[in-house]
Amino acid sequence: MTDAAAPLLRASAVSVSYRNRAGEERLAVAGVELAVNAGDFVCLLGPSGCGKTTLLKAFGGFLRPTSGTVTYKGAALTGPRPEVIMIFQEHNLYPWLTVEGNVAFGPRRQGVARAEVKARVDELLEIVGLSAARRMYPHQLSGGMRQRVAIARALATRPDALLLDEPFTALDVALRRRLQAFLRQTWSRTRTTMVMVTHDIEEAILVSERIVVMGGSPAGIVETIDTSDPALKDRFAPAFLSLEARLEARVGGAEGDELPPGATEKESAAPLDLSDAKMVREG
Amino acid sequence: MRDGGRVERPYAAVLVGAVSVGMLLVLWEVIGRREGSALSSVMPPPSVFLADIAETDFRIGLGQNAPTVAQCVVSTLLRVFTGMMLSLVAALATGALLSLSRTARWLLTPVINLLAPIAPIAWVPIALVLFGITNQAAVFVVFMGVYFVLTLATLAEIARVPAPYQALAHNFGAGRWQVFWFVTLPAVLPGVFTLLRVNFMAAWMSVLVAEMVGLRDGVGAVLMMGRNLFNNNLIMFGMLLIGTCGFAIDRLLGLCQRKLLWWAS
Repeated sequence: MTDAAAPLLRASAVSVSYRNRAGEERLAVAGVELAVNAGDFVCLLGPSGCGKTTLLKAFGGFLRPTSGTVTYKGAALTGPRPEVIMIFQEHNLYPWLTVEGNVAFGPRRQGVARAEVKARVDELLEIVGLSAARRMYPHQLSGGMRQRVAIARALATRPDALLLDEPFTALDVALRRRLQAFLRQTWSRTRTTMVMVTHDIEEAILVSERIVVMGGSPAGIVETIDTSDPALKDRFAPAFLSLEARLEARVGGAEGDELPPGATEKESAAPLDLSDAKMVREG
Repeated sequence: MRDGGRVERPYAAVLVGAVSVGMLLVLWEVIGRREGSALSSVMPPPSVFLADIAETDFRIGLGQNAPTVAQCVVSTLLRVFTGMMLSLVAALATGALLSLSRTARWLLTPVINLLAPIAPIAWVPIALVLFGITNQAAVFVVFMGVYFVLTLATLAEIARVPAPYQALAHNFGAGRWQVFWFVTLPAVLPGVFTLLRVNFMAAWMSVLVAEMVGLRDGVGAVLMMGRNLFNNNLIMFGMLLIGTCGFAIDRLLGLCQRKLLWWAS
């Protein structure tokens, strides 16, 4: 049974181990304790391959911890549930549906009444600024528009929490800044709990209320920092710069050059960048 | 689209294609019209055989009950399309069921792999034994010739569906059946349809063979009628009919692919 007093999501003594290609057990995350309250905006920050995504997937019910428990409102999580929606690095919009159809997908599957679905779609497309694009197909949209549709689609089921796995990594810097601002705005408008994985320090400080720094091998929580101070939302404010410098030293640069063997987190992004670069050169 | 640095122009391609076909027809006419040329008796040119068919009001065969050309085309098309539609639906259903169980897949994939390479035409003798000279025989031939290939295609396409597509649908609260109907099916349809289009030619040919060896109507029967009556005009007309219909249907299937399954590209 769910318990209203319990935190929205809680990881207690969560450890996750993987079996790598050689068949050896490798502990990715060990003994993590983390509680996320309703309305929170938490960023999991750390170098690539440090188990951030693993923890996020455990919060989403997409993988079962090897030991320890994950609870949603006090009840053990046994699988993905519609109250906690995951957003992947790739937008994963359904190419056969229009923008409207993609956003309406979740509520329709849940049997929400027609008029209510339409009202939600209208409202969310307005929030993400894509009302004019509602009849377009994903292949007709730019990368930033697609990721906005993905966020609108995730919000359409009125979830308690969104879990975002480096949602802006595949985009260029300028677009990334705009979407960060957009995500922060969406959070303050809808008060949906957000848990976001990133290795971009600047991004983490700008969007979050709380940063959970992860690191070590096997990974655990190194430090938790309150970032709700409005002074930290200005990239040129001294408070922002000093925190950024401190995290830089702690996390070891945004790119996270220490990739442990068997790390998979960033593998999909690397070839994508290469092919893009090639296309530009040829054109 | 880029091809060797030059932009492809679809209209130019159609125009050049039409000119090429036109030139072939003119050449055929010119040679066929020459007095005493061997070609004119074996392969009479279009003006000759079309005039000949027109004289009999485009009816094939002798007597009052001889079917019209349109009836022949319709009955052939019905056979091909019934067989193809049945095999498409059956293949999607089989593929979906097999994708649920690894054991079933291990059990049945070798059987399907053995049956898939058997060309539709190879099923004609069995079809005639099982169903006699009936429409069912023709539909059976098409079905058996296409079903196994399409089932393999469906299995391959299902395995290729990006995992997050289904994971997300599951996350949104969709049940197993909903995930198949609203995510897996639309995701695999373009790929499976492409294979259906590729296999259309084989299905088409097998029905023609069935019509030539047994069935008394349809486009294939026109050709056989010509052979039996030593009527080369009828033979040429039958061949023209087969070529034109096959071409038209392939284009139609291509159009379906672009208009109904737009998300493929």
